Amino acid sequence: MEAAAYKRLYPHEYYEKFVREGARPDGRPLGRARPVSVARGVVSTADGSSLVKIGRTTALAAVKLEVVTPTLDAPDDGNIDVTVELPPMCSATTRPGRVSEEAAYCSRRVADVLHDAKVVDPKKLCIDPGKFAWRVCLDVYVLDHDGCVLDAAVLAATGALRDCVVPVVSVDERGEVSVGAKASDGAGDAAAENEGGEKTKKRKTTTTMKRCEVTTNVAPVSLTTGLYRGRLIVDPNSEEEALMETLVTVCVDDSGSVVAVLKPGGDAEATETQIAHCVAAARARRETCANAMRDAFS
Amino acid sequence: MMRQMKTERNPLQRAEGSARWEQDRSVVLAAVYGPTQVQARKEDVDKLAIEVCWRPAFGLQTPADVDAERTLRRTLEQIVLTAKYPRLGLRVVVQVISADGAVEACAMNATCHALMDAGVEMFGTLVAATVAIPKIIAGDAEELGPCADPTEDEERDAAAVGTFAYCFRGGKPGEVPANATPERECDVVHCSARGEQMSEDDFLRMATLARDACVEVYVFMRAAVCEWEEDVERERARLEERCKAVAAAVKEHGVDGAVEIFRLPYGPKGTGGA
Repeated sequence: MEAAAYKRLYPHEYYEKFVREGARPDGRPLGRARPVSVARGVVSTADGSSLVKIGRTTALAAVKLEVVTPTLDAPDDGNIDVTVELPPMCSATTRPGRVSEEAAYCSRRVADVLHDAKVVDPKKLCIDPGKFAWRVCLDVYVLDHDGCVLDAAVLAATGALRDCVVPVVSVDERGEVSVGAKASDGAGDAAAENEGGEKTKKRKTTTTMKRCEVTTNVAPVSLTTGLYRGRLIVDPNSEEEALMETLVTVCVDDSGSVVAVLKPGGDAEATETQIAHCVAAARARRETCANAMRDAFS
Repeated sequence: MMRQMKTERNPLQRAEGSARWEQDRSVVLAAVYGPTQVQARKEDVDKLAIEVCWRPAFGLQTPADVDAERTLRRTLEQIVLTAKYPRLGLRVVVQVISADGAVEACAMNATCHALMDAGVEMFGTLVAATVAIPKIIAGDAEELGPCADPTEDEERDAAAVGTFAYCFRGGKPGEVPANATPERECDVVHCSARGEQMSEDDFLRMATLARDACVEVYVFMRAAVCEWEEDVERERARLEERCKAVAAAVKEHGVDGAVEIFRLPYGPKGTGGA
């Protein structure tokens, strides 16, 4: 029987043949993750964007900024709204319509990771405490689902936020945003002063237009490991993910401390030793991802 | 360690199995329908197709609830003996009545009790607990370790929160199950931990505390089930006595006489109603 037919009919036996020798069908050893590449500023209409490829898995993240009223219990904080979408083009099993479970799972996890690792300083998103703040609408589109979508989404989200630059604006009482130097005595006078020609000219020459970065230069890195018959398979692609008994995702930040450990059920249990190995693998992955980010943003 | 737990079996008579689980103010109602026939597109030839429906306390379903459905479904796929029910489907409906922290763990415990009520075969008992490491406020003399079963406020202010689920099996009734003793490592069925800057040590401490908390939950669940079994036994005995009394009356006074004495609903002189 030829290899392709055997693979289709007996996927577990086919995979076992490779794993027993310590390798995988795509040539990697069990403990090696796929190469990462990051590109920034790919979407010109968005305020910040990035494209991340982990092997063939591709995630595109874009940021749009919007002025909103901040919540009552955090009047000088902006907020971030994360949506991860798995559109039908990304894999043969995704369908249009209702939000798929995996997309909802990824959205929540990316939002949690960005919050816990303190990637964004919410105070920098404040325009006028209690009245106006920025809402960061972050959308991540997975263009190609070849396994480990969560890892790509986290990296893309961080890249897009780093690429995004928040303009300094002045907002008048009616809520109209005008990009310009912030008036020193409150937002209400800004409109009047912008209308006056000479005064504006003077203001423009004396104060520089500052645009601030919104991230705190932290880049959380996430790595998914699959458990297959007692062995740990690092960074499985989509064919391997379908065969895995369970997946453990570990997210670490720059200093190596753990931000999230996720093991959503599955077919097998994980011992604490196995989870500890997954954490170590995630730590080892930090270096590669940090280099990729540095190359993109240098 | 855990808050005050309460459970009620079979609050919904129409469902195959149902249970209400309370952890102080977190209350969840779980109902199980099945295993029964399902639509062909949902069928799975080798195993049981589990479907979870998560209804929040108020409002419409949000993506967070869809995520919770997925988590619970994947956990149940590990616990239930799906291979014993091929081509059938199981529907689990979880209604959050009030949420005050540790809702996911509460839901898993409620679901396990409901599955036991329905008589669905499982590998072992699914128990879950949430633990949280509170934030270190500057000025505190000592560091508070992880604490089990946080309330909503504690979860929000925590530096790290994790929900862990375990499947306890084996062991004789009344003793701690074999894989939950402190010496052995316990296998985690489900784990979802997030936090700011956890070290690996923190995570392992959380896992250990969660395991101990789960043993407490397990002991409670076992006690509840035993109490229920005793209730069933008592009910059965009472019913048997009543049957004997009715049979004796029929023998003595005839059917009509028995109907009159016991006010039975049917028969020529029956009351007609229930």
